Amino acid sequence: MNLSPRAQVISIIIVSFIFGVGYNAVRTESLSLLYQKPVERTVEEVDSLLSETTILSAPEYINLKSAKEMYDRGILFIDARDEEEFAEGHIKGATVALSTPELVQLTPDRSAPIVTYCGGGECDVSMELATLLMNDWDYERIFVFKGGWPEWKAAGYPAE
Amino acid sequence: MVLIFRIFLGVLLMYASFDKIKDPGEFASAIRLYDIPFSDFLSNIMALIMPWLELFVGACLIMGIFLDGALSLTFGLMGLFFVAVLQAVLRGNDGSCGCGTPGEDLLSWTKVLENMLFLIMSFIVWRSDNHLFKFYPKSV
Repeated sequence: MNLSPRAQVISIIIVSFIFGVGYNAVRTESLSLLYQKPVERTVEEVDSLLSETTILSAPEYINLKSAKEMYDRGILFIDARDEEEFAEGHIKGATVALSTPELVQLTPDRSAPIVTYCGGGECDVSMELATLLMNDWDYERIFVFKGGWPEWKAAGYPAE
Repeated sequence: MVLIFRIFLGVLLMYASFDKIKDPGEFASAIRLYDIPFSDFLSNIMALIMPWLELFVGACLIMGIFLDGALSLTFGLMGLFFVAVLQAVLRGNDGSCGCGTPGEDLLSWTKVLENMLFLIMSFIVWRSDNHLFKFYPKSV
């Protein structure tokens, strides 16, 4: 049996599709086939997010204005980037991500809201840290400022 | 020369696929950083399939099976990579390339030239009629 070049192309694509989707199905951290942009909570939702009765099941993304609102209310900001990047510039008053036990020591109150951030764009260490704090250390309200340091700096908000 | 180019491209594609297969999430993020219209929505499915495509196409080039199809796909993939990197660099994007090739992985004019070279190599091999070690199918 001789396959035409076009049939060969189609065969290779089909096999790749089967392996790609099949391997994804058995991976522990499988991806959804179509990407959905995460919803960022707006400033109008800050009151309800910070309400003492709110207990989140997973970290929530917040936008720049919500982050500023929470910042003005004195909520702790944790910079999830490494110490070198933190030293180059960070949100004023934010603390660098220490080891998790040290962070827990810093804010032992599990119901206290916390905001994590990193380098914006596609960086995901802020979400990883937030998920760790909620899943393994029982924190109830962790928010992830998706725009992170670049967006904060560009907005001219307090930095150091 | 054609055989050397073919083997080189085969090894390159297979090598580039390994990290992407291991961590498709990171590759999907890299695709989104290119800011190509509609690529956000399709970034996950592209990140899941493209590395396997690279792996199988690379294997076909090296082993000489499904060679005509694999060569068309190689040229298509290299053309896609070249255009993606070029438009990103032209727009001043200097983020991660997500290429998976050895060396620096940041978008730059060096990456554009590198991809152009690979595109030319794939074109030469694709248009060549003289293929050694072509095992299956031998001819159409």
